[in-house]
Amino acid sequence: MKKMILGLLVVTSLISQSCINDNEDPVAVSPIQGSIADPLVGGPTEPNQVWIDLSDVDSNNRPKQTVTIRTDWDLAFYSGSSFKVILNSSIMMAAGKVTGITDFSQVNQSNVTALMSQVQVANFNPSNVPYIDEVKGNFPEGYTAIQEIKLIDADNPVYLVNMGKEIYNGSVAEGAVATGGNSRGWKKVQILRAGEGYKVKSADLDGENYYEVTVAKNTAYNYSFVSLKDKRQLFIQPEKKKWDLCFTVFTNTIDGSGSYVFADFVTHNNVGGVGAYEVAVTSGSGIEAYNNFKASDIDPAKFVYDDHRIIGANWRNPVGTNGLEVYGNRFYIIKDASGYYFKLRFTRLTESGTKKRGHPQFEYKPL
Amino acid sequence: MKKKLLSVLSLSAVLCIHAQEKDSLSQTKIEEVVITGQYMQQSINKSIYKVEVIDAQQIKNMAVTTAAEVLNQNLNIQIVPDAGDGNSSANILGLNGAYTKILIDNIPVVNDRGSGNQTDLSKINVNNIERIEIVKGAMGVEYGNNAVTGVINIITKKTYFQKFNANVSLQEETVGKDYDWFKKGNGRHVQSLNLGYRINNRWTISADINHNDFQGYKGKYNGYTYFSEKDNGFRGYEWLPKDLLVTNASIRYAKNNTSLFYKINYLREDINFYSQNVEELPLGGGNRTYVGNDRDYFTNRWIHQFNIQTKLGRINYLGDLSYQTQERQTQEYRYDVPARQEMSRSEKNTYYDSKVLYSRGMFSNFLDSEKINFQLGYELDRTSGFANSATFQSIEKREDVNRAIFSYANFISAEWKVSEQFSLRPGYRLSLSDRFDSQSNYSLTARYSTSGNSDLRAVFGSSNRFPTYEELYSYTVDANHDIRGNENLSPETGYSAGLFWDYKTGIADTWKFDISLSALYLDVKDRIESAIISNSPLKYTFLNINKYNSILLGGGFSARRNSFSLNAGISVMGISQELIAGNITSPDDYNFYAEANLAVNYKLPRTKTLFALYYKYTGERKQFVQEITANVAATPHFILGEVGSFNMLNFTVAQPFFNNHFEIGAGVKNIFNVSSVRNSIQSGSAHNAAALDQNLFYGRSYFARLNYNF
Repeated sequence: MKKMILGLLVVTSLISQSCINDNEDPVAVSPIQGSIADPLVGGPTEPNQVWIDLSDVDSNNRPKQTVTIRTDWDLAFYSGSSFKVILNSSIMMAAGKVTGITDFSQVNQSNVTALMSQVQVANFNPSNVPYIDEVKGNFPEGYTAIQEIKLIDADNPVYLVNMGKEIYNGSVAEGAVATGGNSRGWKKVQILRAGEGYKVKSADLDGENYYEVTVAKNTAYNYSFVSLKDKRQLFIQPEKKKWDLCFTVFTNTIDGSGSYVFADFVTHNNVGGVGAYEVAVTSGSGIEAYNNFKASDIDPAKFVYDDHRIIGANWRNPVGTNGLEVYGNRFYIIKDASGYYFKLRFTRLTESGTKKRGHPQFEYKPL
Repeated sequence: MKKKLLSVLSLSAVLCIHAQEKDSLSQTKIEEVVITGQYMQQSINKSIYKVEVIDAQQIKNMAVTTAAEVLNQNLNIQIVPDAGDGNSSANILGLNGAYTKILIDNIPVVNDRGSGNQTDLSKINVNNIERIEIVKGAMGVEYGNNAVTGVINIITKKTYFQKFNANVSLQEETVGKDYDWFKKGNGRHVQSLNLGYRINNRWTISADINHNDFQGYKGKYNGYTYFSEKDNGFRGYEWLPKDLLVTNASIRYAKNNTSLFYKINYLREDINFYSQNVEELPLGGGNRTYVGNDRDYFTNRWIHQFNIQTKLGRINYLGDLSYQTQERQTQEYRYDVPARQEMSRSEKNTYYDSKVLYSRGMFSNFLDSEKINFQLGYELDRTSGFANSATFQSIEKREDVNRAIFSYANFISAEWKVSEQFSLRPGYRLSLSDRFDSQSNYSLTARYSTSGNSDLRAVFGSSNRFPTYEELYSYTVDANHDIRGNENLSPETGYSAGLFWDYKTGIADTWKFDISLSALYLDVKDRIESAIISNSPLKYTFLNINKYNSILLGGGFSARRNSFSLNAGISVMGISQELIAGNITSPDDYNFYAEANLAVNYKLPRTKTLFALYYKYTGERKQFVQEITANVAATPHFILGEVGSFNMLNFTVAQPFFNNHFEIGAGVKNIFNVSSVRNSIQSGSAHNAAALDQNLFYGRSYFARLNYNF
């Protein structure tokens, strides 16, 4: 019996073992240079487009943000010399040319049914790509779903426009994003020139909600914006010299899979003359490399102006097997339209504590 | 290296000591009895089913710590651990844990999704196991749904021969190369205590406690203190640390033809998940830190079991009544990795909560005839399950699942001894449930004794598999995807047919040989698989579409003489699987692969030193899988995926002292140092292609064990 009790004692003493932790000495982390910015993307449904001017900072050293709702606008009309119209890719819009019918009023549900099944976004169908604008955003040169508006009215076809998705209004699971809600329906649209501006005709497929507007070019801005749904013109982007980066949902393409909707997307204002390039850190600490990056390290030849997706979705991986990830091995160099340089790296993808998506954060510093 | 040297030293020390006393215990030959699929407990030789038995001595010789490790040695069983939540389940005959019924003392065990299936075998400690019985093939008549590939029945110790039994055992094990007696994150530490007391001829009480502290296996990761300013994804563990505590207490009363048995079992398991990625967090003042979003998983399980065996007049009654609960919780916390500090901890959150009320009763011996015996049985099961919405892959926040299923079944079978040599047993079960349509299962078993030493068994059985929560309720719908569960799924149906032959040499006291041959055919229809139901827009859901067939051919050989025993087995299994994607059906050719195992035990006659060697070979396996392509609209294309071959070899030396009261053991597990196995047949998720490797083991490990027997 004595041996038994001894055995019992040994067991109980061992059950409480393994409480001593691993090496628990704190480790130093590289400090933050410059300032921190929290773009107001608005949480896991990412309702906002956020236009950021890195050179316009407030008293807390935070950059100026202009916030618009993604569904505020539908079409943007180029203000430069050419006549280009782009779709709102943040709400998954698409447009297809109606063939065979030139009369706007003749276009209706029954004669576009076949086209409707094709003018789709994010359907893993590579043949859908022509119905969205060139994802590089290299405008006015790049391809647009609505072809350049011609001088002769008869050369401008009627388009079937997929109005994309509303902002999702349900609750979203932790760590997830919901970039699109209910369908915004369909419109038929015809755009003509009106001198140096545009003349837009739009209506529902049954002819309801007819809206006609003349859009003038305002050269202080990249584009003039129109909401077909709300039947009005409005300002969305700040003046073209007054924004550098845009946080938005974005319809991108994946080779072989067609269009695919990305959350947490960042474009730079290439149309307004902003350039950007990525610095990949191949060895050592990403933060140290970023902190050590000086004005003299800038390579002007690397700035990209013909593709606004340099940052894009490349800064994060939301679907990795290890969960959400902000890549620590890359940072970005931005040259704004006035020729100032910035270095910028992303720190977060979620709100600290709640783990909600749609709360990106970056640190940046003028060079 | 130091560890290796140490184990070699202690081993040779053990070998040098000679036991002074002659072993006084004469090995009494106990007839092997089995219960799985029987009317009453009976001799394995008389069993109408082919029952494979792993007894306590074998388990001890293997020096394993959980039932999962024991079963890994068995042919056509592979334990697959899940790195995500630390659970592991059994693949039997090529199908996953949803197809096999796991029983403890003949009753199904509660789990997250009901009872009896997808039971985590690494949660079952071996130290109070008397034997494990395995029956391969569908056993729907006896055990109901989800017993498609068979039944694993874990029988615990209930009776003792001595008045007072006490057994203390300690086992220290390396995990791969990692081991430390104290430090967190290194090794496996197992302690157990078993007590049994026979109050008098009628009453026996027993109690045991078992603690298995697994400190995790880092593998390609770097533990919980790791972070990097450059790369994410290397923190944490390949096998999550887990701490398992299991206790049992039981009381047994036996008088004449009646025995009553009550057991209470409590299990507590803590699993620690450390996020592989860390988040950067600016702290102000130019400082920053890195935060791990870590999670603890807690499992609390209670099993109450009451078993009665008695005679009502001449009728034998075998009844079980059980109430089981299992609650699983998670608790999230944020850990400041560089500062080594916990920042905040959220409330515990219940994600699975199951309560099972289960009862089964079997009446037999109505006619009291040697020739014909009937068994009439009922089984009822009320499972109420709660699953938090977060357990399903989803983008939108979903409703929690809260459902109760009541099922009731009647089964009947007759055992007809046509002659001394030949007996037949047809069986039928009708299952009713308030959730699914009624299900019928059939069985027909025949046993023919070709001679006193040889039996031939033919077994036919059917069973169904019910859809899982995931298949019913999962929901991934966003701008880009549409993958939904299907609440209208019906159960998969399966049947098996087998032929088993065995031969034992006579009673001669020199060599004893057993030879066995078996062939088993399994057919599963209406398999549930994710399928595209619309191309534009692209939609996936789960449908009852696929077919699965397998053929298993096996042979076993065992030889025994005095203190030497050898068991060897070989099997060849062919799997034919029909997958349907779009309008394309995959080839359904049989792909064959081989497995073999060998167990050799030898006891030195003078010193009683035991040497035990366990080997298993798993051959390369091929299977058709749909080729993953970025373009989902492309025509589906099926290719042959592969799972690599691997060898497992374990070796144990054990030396008893002081008249068998005290024993020291040591050994090496996984001598070939296998960790991950190449696997190109795993399916990926909406965003990520499947990994090409599967972590089945964590490499070579060494162990030492102390055993004290009162």
